[in-house]
Amino acid sequence: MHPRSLCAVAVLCMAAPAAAGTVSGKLELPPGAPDRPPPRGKAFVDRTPNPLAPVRPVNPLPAIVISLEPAPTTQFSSPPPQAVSWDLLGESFARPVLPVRIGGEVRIRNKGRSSPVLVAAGKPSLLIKKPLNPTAEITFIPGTEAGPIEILDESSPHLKGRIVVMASPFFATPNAKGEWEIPNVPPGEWVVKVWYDTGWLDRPDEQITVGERRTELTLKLPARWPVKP
Amino acid sequence: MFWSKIWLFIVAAAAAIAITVALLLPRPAQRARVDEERQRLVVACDVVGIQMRDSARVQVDVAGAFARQPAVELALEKASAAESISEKDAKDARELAADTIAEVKGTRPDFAILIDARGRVVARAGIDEREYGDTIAGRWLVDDALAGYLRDDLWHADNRLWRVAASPVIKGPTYVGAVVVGNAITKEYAEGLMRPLGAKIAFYADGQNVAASSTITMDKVHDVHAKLAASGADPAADCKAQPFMGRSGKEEYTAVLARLPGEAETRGAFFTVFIERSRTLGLGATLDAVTKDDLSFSNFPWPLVALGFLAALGVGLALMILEADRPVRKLAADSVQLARAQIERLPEEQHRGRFGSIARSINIQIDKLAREARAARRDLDQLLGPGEGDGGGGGGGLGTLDLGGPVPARPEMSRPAPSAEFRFSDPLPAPDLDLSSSQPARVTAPPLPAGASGAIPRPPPPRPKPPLPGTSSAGTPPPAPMPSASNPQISPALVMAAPGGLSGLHELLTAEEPVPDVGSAEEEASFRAVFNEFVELKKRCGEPTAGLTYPKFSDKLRKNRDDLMAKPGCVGVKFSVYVKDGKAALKATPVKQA
Repeated sequence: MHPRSLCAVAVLCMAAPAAAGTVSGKLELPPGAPDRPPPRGKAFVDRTPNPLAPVRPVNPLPAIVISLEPAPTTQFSSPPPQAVSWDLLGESFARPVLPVRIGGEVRIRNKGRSSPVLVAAGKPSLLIKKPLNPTAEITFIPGTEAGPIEILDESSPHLKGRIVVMASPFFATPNAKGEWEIPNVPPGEWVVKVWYDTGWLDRPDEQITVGERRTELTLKLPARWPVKP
Repeated sequence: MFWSKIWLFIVAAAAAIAITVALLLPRPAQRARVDEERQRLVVACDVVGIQMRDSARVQVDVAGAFARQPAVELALEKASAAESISEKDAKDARELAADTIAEVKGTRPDFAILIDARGRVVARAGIDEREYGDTIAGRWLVDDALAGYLRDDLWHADNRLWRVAASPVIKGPTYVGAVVVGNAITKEYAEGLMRPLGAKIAFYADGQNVAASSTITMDKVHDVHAKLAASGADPAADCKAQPFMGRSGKEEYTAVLARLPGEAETRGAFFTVFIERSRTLGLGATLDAVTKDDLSFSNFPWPLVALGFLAALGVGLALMILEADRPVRKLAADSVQLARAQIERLPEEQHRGRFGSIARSINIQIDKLAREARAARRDLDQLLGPGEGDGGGGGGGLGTLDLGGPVPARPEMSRPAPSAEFRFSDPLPAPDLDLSSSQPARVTAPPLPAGASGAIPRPPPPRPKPPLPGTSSAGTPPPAPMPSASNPQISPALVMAAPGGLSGLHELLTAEEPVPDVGSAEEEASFRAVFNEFVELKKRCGEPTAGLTYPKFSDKLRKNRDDLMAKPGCVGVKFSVYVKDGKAALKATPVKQA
């Protein structure tokens, strides 16, 4: 390249603001799957594993959220929160755990046959207590404080979902292979945290520096899936 | 009467014991019946649990067999691989499920649901057959089945309770879905549960009766369930809980309540097993339950009862005769003899017990009356002096009373003693007759004034007269003395009035004729004679006679006569005048009955 051209590029680079990067990675699950919860709604006989194939382990991926928390030195302009859709497929939500940013809107669409009356545990004013008919949807803003909110149907004990209100706008959920990607992360120092089901996993959080280039991470999750209190 | 009372006490005690036993005996029987009912209900409740558990096992087996159908495996494998479920695939799967249900031997499932590996409903058979494609994953049963478990559950949907079971569908090593089979809890199912138990059952969920073996709807059921749910007790021990009493209309039932497990438990699902409450076995109910056979001679000791009754009656009657009837008759006979004066007193020594007391009491009263009579006689004697024919020995003679003396204190007497002597010393208002004086009248004739004897005609000497009956000469006050010079202490003024004046009066006195209480004319004449004599004697004694009038005088006489006549044994009164302490005095002498 011509020296003058190189200089021009360098000048341009110095003059323009730092570009956002993408943080992606893969979850390295521990050898043992999470413990299967005890039988819920046990009836007259104990559940018995089928004799033809081993019982499928609990899949923890739908309950995992990867979040990037800014380090104290990181300055960035927060993007506006975006609406999130959460499909009610019938007797369960499409995802058991739904991450949403503070101030972000949640839209629940009923794709099932029943008409549950959804309520937010501990926050009776969050949702209007009325049946959510099939194909209908309900929109609400979970809150302004980070933390989990349980959404459940009073008449269907098995129908339960959890909204995790995130303080950071940069989070992602893994796919079936455990891969995840968070785009448009402003450059700077970030701390990677992993949410599992009911809380943040008790693990050494990675501190990464995000630049223009894609940042690849492999998050090693602890065995027994300990959750911080 | 002692033994009669003892016998009455024994009979009363036996009756009380019999009543107590009769009232108490049904209670143990009632307790036994209640315990038996409770045990019966507990057994029925346990049997319901056992039967439902057995049914669940059968269902799980059916679901497993259903899931192992190759056609089912293929259909679910295909559906799991598809992004969406086509109508054709759903229809094929529904027909397959229906055919599979039809092939089940024994209790066939009411419905079957084929679910792919994603938890989507591929087809429904027997229920909502047109619905497919919705996700049923999330239900605990389905999640466990998709994870590889066979299990059962109890669902509450469409106001019905469903016994469901699920099995994973595995093709080769891959899970391709699950099968859910289910049966509704219906009236027929409830009846089948209760058929060998002889009880009734009702299933409830979400506050509603969803199925029952009968149309009976008891009250209190939901309250009992609420208390049970709030107690935190182990649902497995519900059947062992204390039965409760429920009511349906007028009927009472004994029931036990047990919560149902599974997902329906969260919807307040439970069942009650109940039986009609046996009637409380009180004495009345026990008697109502007595049958003719119970009263037959072969089952009831009638001879013993009759013997006991007759023995008790006989002993009672014998004691009554011995202790009451015979003594009463004897006392009555003695009383009749007493009334007839055949005996003077009741033979109290011949009467025992209370009857002897009665006889003694009567005798005491008789004695008392006799004593009082004697005392009264003595009192009269003291008041009036010994009466004529009295003899001073209690013959009943009446003396005189000086009315001119000081008035003594009035003793306690039920009735004033009659006075027999009057002294009209004060002609003005006549003093009250003090008939109660205990001082015997002392008759003291005043000295006659000079020439008085001449002024008074002497009566003829007294003729011998027969003594009055019942009297004796000894101690008997002398008859009215005739005025004479030899007996100056006694005024010869006899006032036993006689039409013939003093001579006639003397005749009367000496003849001891009682003053007849006859017609007023005779009475008036006699009183007039006495009055005249009395006036005459007063004049002789130098006493004033100005205020002395015949009406007053006759009233006094009449009153005194009446008083004396009221005394027992007095049939007449004779009046005489005499001088006492120098003053004219009047003496009344009762004439006793012969």
